[in-house]
Amino acid sequence: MILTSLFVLLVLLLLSVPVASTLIVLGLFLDEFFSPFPLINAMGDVLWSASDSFLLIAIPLFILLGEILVRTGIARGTYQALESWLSWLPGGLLHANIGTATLFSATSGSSVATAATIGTVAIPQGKEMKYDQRLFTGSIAAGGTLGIMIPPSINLIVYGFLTETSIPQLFAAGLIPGLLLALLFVVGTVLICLWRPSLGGPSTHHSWAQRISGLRHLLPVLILFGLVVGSIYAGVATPTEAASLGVVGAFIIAQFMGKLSGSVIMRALESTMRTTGMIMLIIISSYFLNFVLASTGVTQELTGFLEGAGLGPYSTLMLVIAMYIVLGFFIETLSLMVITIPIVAPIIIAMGFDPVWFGILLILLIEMALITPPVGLNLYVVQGVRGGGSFSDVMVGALPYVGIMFVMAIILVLFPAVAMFLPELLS
Amino acid sequence: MLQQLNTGLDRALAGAQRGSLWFARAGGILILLTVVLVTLEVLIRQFLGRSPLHATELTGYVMAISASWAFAYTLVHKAHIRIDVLYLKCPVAVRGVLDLIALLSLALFCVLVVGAAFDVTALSFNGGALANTPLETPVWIPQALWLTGLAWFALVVVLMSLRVLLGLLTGQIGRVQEVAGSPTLDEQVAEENKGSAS
Repeated sequence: MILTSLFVLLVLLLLSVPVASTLIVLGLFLDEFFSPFPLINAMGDVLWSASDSFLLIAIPLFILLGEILVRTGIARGTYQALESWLSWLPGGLLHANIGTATLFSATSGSSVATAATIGTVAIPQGKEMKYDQRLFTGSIAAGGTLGIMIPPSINLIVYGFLTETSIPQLFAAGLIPGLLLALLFVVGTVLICLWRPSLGGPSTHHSWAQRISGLRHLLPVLILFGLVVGSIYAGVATPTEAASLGVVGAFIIAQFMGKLSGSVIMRALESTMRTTGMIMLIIISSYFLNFVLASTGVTQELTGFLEGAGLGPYSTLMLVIAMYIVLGFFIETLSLMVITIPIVAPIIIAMGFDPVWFGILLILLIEMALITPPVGLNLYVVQGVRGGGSFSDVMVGALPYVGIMFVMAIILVLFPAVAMFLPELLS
Repeated sequence: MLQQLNTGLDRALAGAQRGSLWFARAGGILILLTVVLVTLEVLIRQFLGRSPLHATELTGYVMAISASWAFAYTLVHKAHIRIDVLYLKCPVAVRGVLDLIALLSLALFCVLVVGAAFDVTALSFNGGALANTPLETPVWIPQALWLTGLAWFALVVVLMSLRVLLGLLTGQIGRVQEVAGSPTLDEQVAEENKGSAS
């Protein structure tokens, strides 16, 4: 039963059947052959209760927040400010790439948006200063992935929705690992550039006056982060309410910068709806498949199989990590999440791992999938922004950061407290 | 004859694209209204301790409705995710056939989903089901709006399937690509850039 469904899934996906219909067809297939009573009768109720969701609306709201922010052009000011603080390090501008990505991740829930925003501002500057294109583009692609780890994060909402895990807990758990990963990126970059200075570019120094006056450019992003994340942990707002406050804040900032107009709002809304339609069609389908999997007992069967095979919790975990790394080469990340979470998460949780902790580990593996070829969305985004040159530059340049993410995964497994410290403090 | 049918379908598709844009815009405006409502509720609750707005319930309905109103718009922008690792390696004619399979699978999806959504809505309507909330909303109202979006999505899927089928039969592979081909990576990236460059 497991093998048959896996086979059906793979064939449909490889035929480039849309992921949403693949999930529904697989659900029906399992229903038809393995369920004692027809689950399809419950489909309407399942789809409605998945769609009628106060939690999920946080997703379009965070997308909208990012869309408005991108259209205000505040990325440029932020980048210059961080450049003046960080470019004395060996590797120069590379650290501005990572720093700006970290900061934007704190208002953006999406990795692709983060990478595209940074890329647009950074790449012309990198070319002008004759940086080695490989590490330069690689650092943008990798830095961009922080968008889904540092709260707010759309992917963490999806995980929380499918596994019924608390979103505030997940957001709290993502903060330290996200910042630590950013720090590891910086340290790794410094080491690489000390070893081979030609891979970086000139370090530059700025006066303290310049640095201090640049700080005001960081304000919009920090205010929004404070508003969104602060209101959640002050107990004032749920994640959805915090997202609404963030959207209002972004509108005020855009107005303040003189960038708000009717057409800007309309474009932002259209773009938001396009992405929302894409995400929601997959989520409701996955929710139905989830329901079928649970009702037909596939999940229990798999868990039983793994336990029967005598695999301990950590061997199972290693297996799961290996599976995500391999699948991450080939499968787009949101699809990868919704296909695997309904099956993998219950098994891992049944083995005694904490659902919040596993959410963070999973997001890290998803970040890795975003920058591993051949299918690594962030690589394509950066290559696209660059508008020329060989794609293998970006691929090779991202490799060191894949290595750093792997180190981070080991840290997370060995020291779960890195993720669990904040959520435990809060609860 | 087929040629005339093609022209007719092309005209219908152009109309469907405009319609989908307006559905998406309407959904987007609903989301904006939600932002206002939820923000007001947070503020009122902060100052008065409780809120009379019932934003949680209404917001859930908006999510269901605006998502279903967006599906067709996402489709005409080719933004529903397909895994195209093998697809991109196939000759153009094979890709056309894969595009048709993709659309037919969506059509099957729509038949099932619209049918199920219709049953749920009809049941709520006939049974006079009220939401188990302070507002006691008759559930069929948001469900009917949700169903409308799904039905529009189904209509656009059927139109596109027919156009692709005819395109394959009359050998207009280029047009098939235009209507239903997997967006090339360059296109995806151009979409992203449009957002961030402006």
